[in-house]
Amino acid sequence: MTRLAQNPRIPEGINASEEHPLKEFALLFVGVALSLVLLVVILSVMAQQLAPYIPFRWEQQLTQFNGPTDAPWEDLSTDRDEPVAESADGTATADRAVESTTADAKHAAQAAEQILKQQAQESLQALVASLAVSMAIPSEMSFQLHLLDDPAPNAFATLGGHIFVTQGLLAAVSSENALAMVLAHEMAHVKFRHPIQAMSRGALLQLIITMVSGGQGVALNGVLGQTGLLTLLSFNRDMERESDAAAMAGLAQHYGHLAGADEFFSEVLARHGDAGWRAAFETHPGTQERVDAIAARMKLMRTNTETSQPLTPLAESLLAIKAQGEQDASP
Amino acid sequence: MLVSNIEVVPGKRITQHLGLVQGSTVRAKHAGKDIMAGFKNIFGGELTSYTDLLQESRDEAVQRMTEQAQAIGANAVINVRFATSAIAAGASEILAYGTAVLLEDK
Amino acid sequence: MEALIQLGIFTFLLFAGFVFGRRAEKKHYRSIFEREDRFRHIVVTNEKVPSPEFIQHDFTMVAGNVVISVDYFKVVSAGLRSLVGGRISAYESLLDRARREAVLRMQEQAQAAGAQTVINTKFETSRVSGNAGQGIGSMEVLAYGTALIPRRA
Repeated sequence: MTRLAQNPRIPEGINASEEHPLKEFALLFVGVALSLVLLVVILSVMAQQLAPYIPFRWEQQLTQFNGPTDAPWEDLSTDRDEPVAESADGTATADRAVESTTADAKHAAQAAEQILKQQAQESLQALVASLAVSMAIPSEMSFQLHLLDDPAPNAFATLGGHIFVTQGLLAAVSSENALAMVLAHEMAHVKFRHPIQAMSRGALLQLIITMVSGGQGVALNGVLGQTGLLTLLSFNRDMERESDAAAMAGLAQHYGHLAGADEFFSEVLARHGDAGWRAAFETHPGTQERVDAIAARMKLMRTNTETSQPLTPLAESLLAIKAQGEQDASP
Repeated sequence: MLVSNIEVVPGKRITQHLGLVQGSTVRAKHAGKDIMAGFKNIFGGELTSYTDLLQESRDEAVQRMTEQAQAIGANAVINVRFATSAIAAGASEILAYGTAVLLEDK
Repeated sequence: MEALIQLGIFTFLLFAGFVFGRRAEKKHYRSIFEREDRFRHIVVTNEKVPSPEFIQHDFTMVAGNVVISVDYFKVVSAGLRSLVGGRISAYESLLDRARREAVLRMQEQAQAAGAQTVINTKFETSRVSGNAGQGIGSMEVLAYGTALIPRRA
């Protein structure tokens, strides 16, 4: 038997594939992405069809607050609860007297602010109630309005018919028509049960993705998450379009015209420009698209787009709180 | 091709040693089986899908090893050993290595 | 917008992983081929009992080990493959490289000791955790055996 002189020359390609990695990757990626999109679409449709069967009453019970003090977003003044400390030796009484006067003034100002806010919320509530009639909202659905201190213009609706409006939004609108457009849009979301649909969809999708990936690999979660997210975003935009259409119908019914309805959107457009191609990644349709939709609707109603129609002014209390907000904002 | 883990094959004579040959493979089962295995982890019992996975992997590793042996002109692989290691959850590597030889009857 | 940024980062990491990983792999393989030729005379086998001509030799244990890391492209590719099932070729090339490198280092050690052959070679592969235990980070391969050193006459 001859002793082995040297290690054998073994051909490549047996233990490691010689195929280009990108080819295999592309194939896998496309396959997985397509199946995921399909899965997301099927699940979303399922969730959207089934979620409205959850009674609105349950939503309300889940999100019920018994009064203004219960709601976590109401920030009541904390100074009010501080006990006035008795001075032990009485030497600082004079200072304390001055302090307590300023404290009293502060308390008075805060109390006035609270009252203003309360009145503004009541006006909003009244406006919503009258719009509800024009929009044919089912009688078992009720809305609760909340005014937030945020200077950024925003409005959103959540479970149980709660609608939130920010100070910033009030600052951005100059007529009741514009405010009504935004409120009607949020009311339409509640009417079509969009909040519960969106929540069910999100929860179901998260569950499936976790099950499939089995917690293995953060990177894989990334791929699945991206594809899922992009598909979900398009559903949100459809909901927004639906609400816009319903809001326009409601406004037309309530005021008889759509003048002033696009004020808010036009202002956002002027300030931030259109999202353009990035619209695919946003939750709302492009702002230009929404302005155009309103303009098209107005043409359909054969109404003049100029403000020859009288615009309803904002209620007194809303103007008051707007003024307050501007005062606070200006240095 | 003869594949065995003994050093001296009874009834045969080694005419030439040809060197070390290895075969390895990394495999994963698809997601559906992983989910089933997840459920099994709660109830217990044999994970047949993973048993199959490892069996397939071992067969493929041995097959690659014999491919290497054939390429260098051997007709048997002796002293075969296996090494298994977990790569990630649900995927494992099997390595089979041995000495490629030329055997002939005594 | 957030979705776009996330997607962008993911694509960038994937691209970077692919480009740099592939380059590193090619370079490593070139080095492996060249050194395998250089050390071809250090015979490596896995027989337990040495042939009769080695009876008078001295022996010493030699080992070679290496830790090779994955790149992002490999991780994602393997993740996708583990959804579908089948061979994960990304990791196969990684382990092949690591094994051959470990054997080469063992041969280097054997040569340094003056040996011409290594018997009873064994392999150990283990995973070094990456990403705090989730998924693959790097693989370590150890090759060890007994080097037979001819006695100086």
